[in-house]
Amino acid sequence: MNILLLCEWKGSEIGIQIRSSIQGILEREGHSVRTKILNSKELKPCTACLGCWIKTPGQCQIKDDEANSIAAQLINANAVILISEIVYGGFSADIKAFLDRSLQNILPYFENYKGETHHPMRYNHFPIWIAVGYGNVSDMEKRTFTMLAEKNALNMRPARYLAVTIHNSDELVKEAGSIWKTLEVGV
Amino acid sequence: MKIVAVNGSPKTDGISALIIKRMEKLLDQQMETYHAIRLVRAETPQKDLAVMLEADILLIVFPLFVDSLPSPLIELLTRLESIAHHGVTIPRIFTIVNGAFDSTQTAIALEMIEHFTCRAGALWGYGIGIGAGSMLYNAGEDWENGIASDIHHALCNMATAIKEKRSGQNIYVAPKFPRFLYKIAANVSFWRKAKKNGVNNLRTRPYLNQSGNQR
Repeated sequence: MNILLLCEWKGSEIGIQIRSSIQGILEREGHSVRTKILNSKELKPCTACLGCWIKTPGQCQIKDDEANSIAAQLINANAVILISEIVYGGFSADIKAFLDRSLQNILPYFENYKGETHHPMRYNHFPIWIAVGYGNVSDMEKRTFTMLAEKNALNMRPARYLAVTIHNSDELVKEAGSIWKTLEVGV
Repeated sequence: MKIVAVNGSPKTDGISALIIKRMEKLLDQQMETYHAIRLVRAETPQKDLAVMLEADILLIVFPLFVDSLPSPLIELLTRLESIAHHGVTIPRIFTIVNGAFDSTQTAIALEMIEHFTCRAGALWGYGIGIGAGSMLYNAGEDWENGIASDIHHALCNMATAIKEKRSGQNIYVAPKFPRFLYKIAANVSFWRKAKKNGVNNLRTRPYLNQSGNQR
């Protein structure tokens, strides 16, 4: 399985431990894992120009950073695992800087989907989507993070998705089963 | 009472700026407005952050980006929280988010601002989630009547709450416009804009591999 790990540049020691654990296990099982460290200082912020919809459909107009290359890797991966510190119940600024620029991978049009108005998919498949949020956060923030992953899934339409919230890398052991199950890999 | 606005949009003339201008009218005062994207990229933002924190009220207005806050706004809030942890009081927070057609899709973003408020030890006013925010470009000057009247009413109530430094419940409002017409209007608008750019196919898939497949 071809798996893309998206991690934050500003991540804490806990984030690095979680990344190393997941990457190590998947690689030992023979999966191809590519890790991208996202940095909001290097990835330019989305300017909401909509150029990726109406000027160069499917590609962001900002071309002097890695966002387009990562967006291409994402859409061609079997699974994407985002490892983010939970910030106010959402992703950290580093991870979000890329997600804002990944608008290029969905279509501009609107359609009804599960009772709401959403954008259709640009590609036939969207990779399995796993959001691993960590940090010493409240139950309310964990709930918001899980809801955000669910809402993202409504827009991106992955085959399967999962949101995991843990305090530290030790708790990863408890949640690992659900991650492997979502990936449908035997570990 | 000093009210400072934070515009979380990357645009200076977008819907968030329009809403801030409208709030200035309703509050009878000009607000100093800071753009999150500029502040987080400034080499010396300390002075601006200090001015911001002298306010009684911080009005954070932003567009919904991928179901939550734009990245620069997240970064700005983390900086404000860090300042708060050094004993500086953060002003009372009110927020307005404009998003997709269904106004309730903004609920997660409003929750995130509430979580920030809690972590920064600030007082929470409340938030307005606006659906189909882009329709406000077509609302003209008179928001009191016509498609934007519910939004106007919600902004009036928030202006009153700000003046009285009163908290409230989050509310969700949208222009009076049917969903099916919104979809048609938006889809035609995308197609027209693309046509002007010489683009005929908005559904291209540039990241398919050479054999036209994914993976």
